[in-house]
Amino acid sequence: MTIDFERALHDAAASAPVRDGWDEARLASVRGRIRRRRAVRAGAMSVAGAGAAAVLVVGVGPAALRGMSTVAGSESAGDEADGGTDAGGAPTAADGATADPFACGATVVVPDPAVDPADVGLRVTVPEPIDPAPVGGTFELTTRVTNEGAAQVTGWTLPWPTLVVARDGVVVGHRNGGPEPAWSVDLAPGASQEFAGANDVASCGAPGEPATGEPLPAGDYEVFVEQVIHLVEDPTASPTPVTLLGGPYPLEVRD
Amino acid sequence: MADWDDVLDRVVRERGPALARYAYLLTGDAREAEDLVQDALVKTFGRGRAMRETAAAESYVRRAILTTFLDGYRRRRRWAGVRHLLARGEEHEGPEGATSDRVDVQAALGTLSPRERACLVLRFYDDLTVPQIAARLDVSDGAVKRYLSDGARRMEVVLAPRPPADQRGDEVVHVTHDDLPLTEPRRTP
Repeated sequence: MTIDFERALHDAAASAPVRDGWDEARLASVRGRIRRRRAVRAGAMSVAGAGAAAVLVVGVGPAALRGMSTVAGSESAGDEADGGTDAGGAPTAADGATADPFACGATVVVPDPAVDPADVGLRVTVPEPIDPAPVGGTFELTTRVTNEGAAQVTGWTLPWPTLVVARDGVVVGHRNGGPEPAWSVDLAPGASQEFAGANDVASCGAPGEPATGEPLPAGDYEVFVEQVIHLVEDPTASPTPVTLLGGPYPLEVRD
Repeated sequence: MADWDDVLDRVVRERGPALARYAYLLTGDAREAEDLVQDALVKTFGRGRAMRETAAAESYVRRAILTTFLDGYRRRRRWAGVRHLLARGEEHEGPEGATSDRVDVQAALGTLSPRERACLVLRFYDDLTVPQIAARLDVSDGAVKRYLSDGARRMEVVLAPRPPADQRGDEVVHVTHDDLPLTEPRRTP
């Protein structure tokens, strides 16, 4: 005989005698523990980061920049030194800064998922956790493009997004790989399209220079994805590129 | 409110119970499960990662739940200390069947090693494939198949209806690797 393990486990989980919600005291306790831990970590990073090279971020195309900031200058490694800092008053690419979008050593400004840079209702996400990758090996990654707008979207895209790998908010690697055949995109409102496959990532060399091709050392990283959708609204006109950003998504590289 | 604070709030309020249920399958104890979720939240959000998306943050937390569970000797020991309380004794089929079934599943899970339990939960609750589980646990595909096979066999022994006394011993429950679906994971709504 066989047992339906899937059903058994889902039933067991559904009937687990756990509380339905969190009270404020419990949440406050967790927040306090997190703050203390982050404070210790930020202190350690500030010491380690003293004298680090100036950092630059990331504009990922004019459309995307409407929802993002670009930083030119040093960022302190404070509590939000993970890349979540805003760049108040800093020049943007639109101001004429020469921002290499994915330069090694750049500090990533985390895309705000609430912002639709192109105002077309498209969104890119990585719906499944990325499994750990061996040093020098590949990892599977699926990106999902969803049409959250009210109109049909038609166009094309490369099957693989640009991948940027960061550590503590600083770009430390890029995806290896060259041009690949384009895929058509045809999304009704609410529909999604997924692109999946194996990736390998090359480690950065000197700040501002291309990746060296060396594998990333073991450790915890964040992956950011940039997927460009070329919208074809009028077949007789040039497609309109729309840059979608997603991330960060965790990636662990293991020895 | 810092970004992480806001994401933490959303994860806890929107996904807290689901995370606790997931942890419960691993620990077999509600209190331990809630402690495990809290530890995983601290581990995840305390690392200074940038997180804006609830789903991405939840995936971090789930992984932290798993690794914290597997690394947590204290939890394993506590489970070992109480699991006999859930062990199935004489069969009593009755109107409380549904409740008994749930207790049986918990008891059956309690007979497994932490890695066997983790493999079964990842396979049949998280719908991961064998290679995905292997990557998640940093073991070989073969080891995962062995954990799944051994774990499933033990679960079958606990959960299988007992035959009448005069037939007991005639029925042999076999769970082989071939019984374990290794296809792409199904998507849950």
